[in-house]
Amino acid sequence: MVDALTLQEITAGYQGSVVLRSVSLSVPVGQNVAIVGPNGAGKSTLLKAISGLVSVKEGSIRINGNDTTNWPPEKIVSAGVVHVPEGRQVFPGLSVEENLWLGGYTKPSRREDLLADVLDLFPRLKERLRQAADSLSGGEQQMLAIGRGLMAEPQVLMLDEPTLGLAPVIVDLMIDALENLRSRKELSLLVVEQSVQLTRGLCEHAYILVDGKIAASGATDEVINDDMMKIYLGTH
Amino acid sequence: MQDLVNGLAQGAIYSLAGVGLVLIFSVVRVPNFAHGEPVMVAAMLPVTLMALFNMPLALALVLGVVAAIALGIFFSVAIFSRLSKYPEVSLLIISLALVVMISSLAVMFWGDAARQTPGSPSTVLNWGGVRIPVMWIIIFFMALAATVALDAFIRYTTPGRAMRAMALNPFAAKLMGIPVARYHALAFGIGSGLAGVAGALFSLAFAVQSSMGAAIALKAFIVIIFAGMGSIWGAFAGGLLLGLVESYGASYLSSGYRDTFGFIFLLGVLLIKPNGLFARRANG
Ligand SMILES: Nc1ncnc2c1ncn2[C@@H]1O[C@H](COP(=O)(O)OP(=O)(O)OP(=O)(O)O)[C@@H](O)[C@H]1O
Ligand SMILES: [Mg+2]
Repeated sequence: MVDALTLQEITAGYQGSVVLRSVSLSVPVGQNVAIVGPNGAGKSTLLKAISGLVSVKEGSIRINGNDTTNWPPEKIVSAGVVHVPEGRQVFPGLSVEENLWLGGYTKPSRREDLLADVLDLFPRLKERLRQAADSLSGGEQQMLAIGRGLMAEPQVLMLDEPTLGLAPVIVDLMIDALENLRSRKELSLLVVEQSVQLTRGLCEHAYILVDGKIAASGATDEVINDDMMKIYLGTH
Repeated sequence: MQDLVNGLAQGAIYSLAGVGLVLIFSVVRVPNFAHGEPVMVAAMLPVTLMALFNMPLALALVLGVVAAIALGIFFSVAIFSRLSKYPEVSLLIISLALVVMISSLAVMFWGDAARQTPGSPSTVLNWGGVRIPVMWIIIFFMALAATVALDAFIRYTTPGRAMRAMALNPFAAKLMGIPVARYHALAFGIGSGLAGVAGALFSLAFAVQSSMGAAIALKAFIVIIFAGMGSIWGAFAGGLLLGLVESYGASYLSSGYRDTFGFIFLLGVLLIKPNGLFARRANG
């Protein structure tokens, strides 16, 4: 079976600075993949390269086997890969409902079903549909950002640090919601996350990214354990 | 009273130009000083078309506006959408360069003589000594109608909402799958189209010339700074206010300084309300 998403030795970065060096990675259909690594390793840049926000200088990206290298972001979304960025990035001043509506931009005919689905997953959003997105708590904004991503009915949903800065109870809520998503056979998650609890509970595969290169990869239990963390991340 | 009427007629033109500029500025963050050029093209072209091709007035006016829209789309596609990663100051300089180039070309082509598009209704109403040309009433209601239409478009249509999303968070808008390059061109097209309508109406009621663009663009900027940069109705009200300031200033102080009253008033506004008179959250 063709992987939902494949990166083949991609090199990418910003004007004047190369951040990712020959990164290869694959996300099998219906399975979840974690990316961990120290600050500044290039994790967010990697997601941006996939979603078309950062240009790829070498190598190729495939979605369902189709070469999507350097496609513009809107075509990547239509191809089924949706990026929920670091820092939530909700539309301020617009209501929760309008934010979700915009998330469904590429799926106008499916909006109603998708909305019902998202509100099922995050009931807290249902009570706040008319509230301005920027007046939500951090956790609620993160739910909105994920819900907004799901409104595009992705095949691969990329989450950049979904639990960063959230209170422990909210983190548990988030994990429950993501666990719930996991049961969907047709959806894969590509998660950048520091929380070991989340990555181990959620992801079958993990990659460790250090200084723009893949330092280790494999089954999550083997990769994300104390020894590996000590070697590559210098934590614990 | 006469000053009020004069001010509202002139001001409605500024409103239209300002509303177009506020759309462009909020959606794509280009401080487009070349915004006066589509005004000028739509003001100058109809007379030429009528003379060369014997074209009826209405068609000539419409083609003038179409040319303004085309110019705006050209600005977007050929120039500003390619430069979107550069800071606003660079875009500002480029828009100034466009002003110089386009107005020089226009002066070469049309000369610099003032002229007016003939054929507008010449009826002048007289209400208790106040002269109100019918054309001015048309101008006022056209400006109002265009602003209502734009507001509805932004609120209720998919392209309108997509442009509002770009105005609020361009980065996130891309991640929603919104084709931002297309809406960049659309914002420029609609904004310049409104500028074109302003130019066409202007030329029917007042004297216009091929070098007028820069002055109109400056006034449109005054209007949107009044309005606090982000509000369509703020820009509409700001345009009327600028028209009134100019008209009362010219009649009570000195008509020679007509164009400076707007700036003085702007300075006053900014000293008292640094975010603009009608500042509120950006709504595209
Ligand atoms: N817009 C940008 N322009 C230039 N360099 C950038 C830009 N964004 C990030 N970088 C650089 O790229 C490198 C990788 O950054 P990136 O944000 O991808 O790291 P990260 O792994 O996501 O870190 P964190 O854990 O802190 O989120 C850093 O050295 C950063 O300074
Ligand atoms: Mg990051």
